[in-house]
Amino acid sequence: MLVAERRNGRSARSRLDRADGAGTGRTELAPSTGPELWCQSLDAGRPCGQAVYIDDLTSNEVVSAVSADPLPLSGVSVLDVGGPLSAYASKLLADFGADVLKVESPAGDELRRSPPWRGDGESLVFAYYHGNKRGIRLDVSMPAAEALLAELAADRDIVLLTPSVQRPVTGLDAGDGRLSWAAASAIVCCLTPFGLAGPLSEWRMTPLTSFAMSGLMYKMGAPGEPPAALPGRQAWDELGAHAVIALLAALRAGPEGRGQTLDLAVHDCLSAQDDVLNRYSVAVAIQGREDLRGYPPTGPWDCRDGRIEFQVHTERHWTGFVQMLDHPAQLAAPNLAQRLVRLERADALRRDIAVLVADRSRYELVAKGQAAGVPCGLLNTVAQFTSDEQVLARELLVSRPHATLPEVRMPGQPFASSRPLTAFRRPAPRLGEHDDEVYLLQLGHTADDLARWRKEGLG
Amino acid sequence: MADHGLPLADHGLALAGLRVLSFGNFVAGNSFATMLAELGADVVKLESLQRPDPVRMRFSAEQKQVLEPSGVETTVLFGGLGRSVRDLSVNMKAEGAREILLRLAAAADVLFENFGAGVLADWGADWPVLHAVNPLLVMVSVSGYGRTGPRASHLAYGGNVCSFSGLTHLWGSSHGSIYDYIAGTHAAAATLAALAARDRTGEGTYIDLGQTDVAAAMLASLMLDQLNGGPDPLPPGNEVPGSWSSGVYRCAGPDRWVAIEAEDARGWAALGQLTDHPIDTPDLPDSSARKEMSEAVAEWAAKLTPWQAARMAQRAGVAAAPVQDAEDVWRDPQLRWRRSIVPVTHPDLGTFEYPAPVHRMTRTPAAVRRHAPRLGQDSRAVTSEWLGMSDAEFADLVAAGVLGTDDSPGRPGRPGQGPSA
Repeated sequence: MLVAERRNGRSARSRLDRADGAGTGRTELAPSTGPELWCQSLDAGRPCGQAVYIDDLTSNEVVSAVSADPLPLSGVSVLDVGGPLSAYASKLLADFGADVLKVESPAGDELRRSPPWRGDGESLVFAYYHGNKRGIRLDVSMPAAEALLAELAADRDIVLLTPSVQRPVTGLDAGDGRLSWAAASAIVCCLTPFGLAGPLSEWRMTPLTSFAMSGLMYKMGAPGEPPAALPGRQAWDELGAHAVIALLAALRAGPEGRGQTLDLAVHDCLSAQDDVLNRYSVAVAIQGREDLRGYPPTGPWDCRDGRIEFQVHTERHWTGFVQMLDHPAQLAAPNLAQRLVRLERADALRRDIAVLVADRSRYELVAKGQAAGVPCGLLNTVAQFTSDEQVLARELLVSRPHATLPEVRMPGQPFASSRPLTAFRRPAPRLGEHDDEVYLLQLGHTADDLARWRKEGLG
Repeated sequence: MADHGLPLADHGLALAGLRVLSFGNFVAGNSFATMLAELGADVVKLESLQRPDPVRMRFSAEQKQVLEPSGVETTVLFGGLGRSVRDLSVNMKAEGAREILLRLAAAADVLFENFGAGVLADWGADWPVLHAVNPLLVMVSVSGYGRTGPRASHLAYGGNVCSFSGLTHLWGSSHGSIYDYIAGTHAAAATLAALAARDRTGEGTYIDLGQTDVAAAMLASLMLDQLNGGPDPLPPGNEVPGSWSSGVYRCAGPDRWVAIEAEDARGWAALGQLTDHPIDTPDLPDSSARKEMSEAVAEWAAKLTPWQAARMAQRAGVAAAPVQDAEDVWRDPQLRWRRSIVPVTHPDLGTFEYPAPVHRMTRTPAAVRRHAPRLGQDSRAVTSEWLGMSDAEFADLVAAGVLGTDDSPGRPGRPGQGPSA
């Protein structure tokens, strides 16, 4: 049984009976006319999608919908007044079942202006990050917002913020991390590029510049060329996952974990990776971009139908690699099993191996290589990845309803689980979609108040 | 058995009282374990004298060899990745080891593994068995492609994950560990969520996390266009989609660079003023205008050091940062100011500097609790505290080769293979 509940003051409920699909591990709820809920689950060891439909309620009305097994964070409430840096944290919290209220500036969140767009300028990036959340408008940098923020945060367990010089948050004391308007029991989580204080804390940063400072970019790219930027938003999103860890740990700590401030920095997170400090500590050496190619055949190669990558490190890997290529004469020398020998002969080996794999199918080579114990895999473009049989079998990609678009296809839950830990409950909000619901119905303000705030640029 | 290092006090830590068993090795497994341990969990790393964690082995014979008193090798890499956990030596191939594992699992909240496919099943200790022994247990498997699907059994190093997911194509370079760290982080987040669910339902959860699953989530912004009818994306280079101007520019000095990004019209105007080359454009600049701006920035940056360029751009309100190498990171002013680099002393390795825990919390801060353990260092303490095992039983199990301690004679160290997943 699944229960969809409206919390807009009318306490309406809709109950739906479940009709189990036979033999496929797939379960659907009937009738199936409303927005769709998706849960990934495992059934008898096989991944399956669990499609759940809610009848009668429009997407605007569905505030929470929980299965007989409540989601991990059902009942946890979050106020997210942050920008793009907190988007992934609040996405994970919302997907885990928290009630997340996203506060945007009157001009709209920056991610609304992030490509790609569809329809009438709808950002698919915004749709990905902000599903499962409600959204209201308020300029949290204006001191006049403080009283409203206190009302909004009155019963919130968690407040997320991304204060910066460009987008300060009223009421925040960066010195001690106190937020004047947060509830005494709230966990205040600040996500920033450098932390709340320190010599660089006022720098304006983006995922590109954060990655540049981390020590990770310097090693990436071709020798002589500029260091290569990490594409996409993951340099910042990883901090979001760390924020969720810290927040769930704080919630787990009970009263001792409440009423505290979390000061999480992208720079701490990125510079802690990839052994940058350890290697410098040990060898006092600086790794540059010239060191990347290593010993063949480890690395990427061109096959007739695309690219493949081998990771051949041990003697067993090499033996399997030679077997995979049907024992060619060029690779027959027994001492090639040693990495250092292959490194010394790298140029000649690369020429030979390029010829040996050029006319082969990468799919066949992967199958044969894996059977021979060679760590190898496809080197995919995005389209090759999104259509790969493994991605399809694990149902990594899902289609979600959207407020104005027919639907949006996007990555789903980033793991499978034996019982649903996440669910899709609502599409990302339109700008100010829940202003009336929150300011008028929930907090008891009037339409005149709303009109006045808009005139003042507050909401 | 010798006792080394700081006491494992857990008061004031958020996850005090949580018991975690970890077969985690390489980067993903150790980062998961250490993260939870530094938040207060009692994390017990399971390895054996016969099968030590591969990150205890040197990359190459040229590296200085460091041995623990047992003869087992250890490394500075393990010193960082493995800190703050306890270590129990159990040889899973020995008769009686499965029973010890099931007893430990019955006393644990979480069990983590990132072995190859089928290892726990071969030991008779996969999820159905463990769930039956302890219905409250949360179990986590981390693997390259996930435990289901046609590639579930495929061997994968970190580079393979990077390449399979599309990142190598988009980035132009294969990276060996980027999704190891991100997988460890997501595994920890999912574990804590599953524990929250368990507290409500009384039922544990099995989490099957493929590194390629996590890569899809991380690469979403680059996949959405193609997923919704757009073309297969080309590598963006150092251009950030949607930004008005972005790039990595050569500065004065050998291999010195600065990264600069003007996200919008305001940044574009500021960059034009800074480089004394304003370019009027009514809307998002076209490729010709972007190229012109990029050339102006390149000419301007070439005369400056990375820090000069970054600081001048910052003063003008433009996002910018030096491209730091490992030494720059070591002396980074912000990391030093925040004490984000901490010395840790290990009895065999000596003192080295490592990244501090990321989770800064005013009331329950994460903390380095101890140096990375010697193999088997805590076997006696854990079996006593978790299982109530008597001295006699412990001695019998050590004599039978099921359990080991940090003074058991171990396999001599030898150069290992590069760690990955």
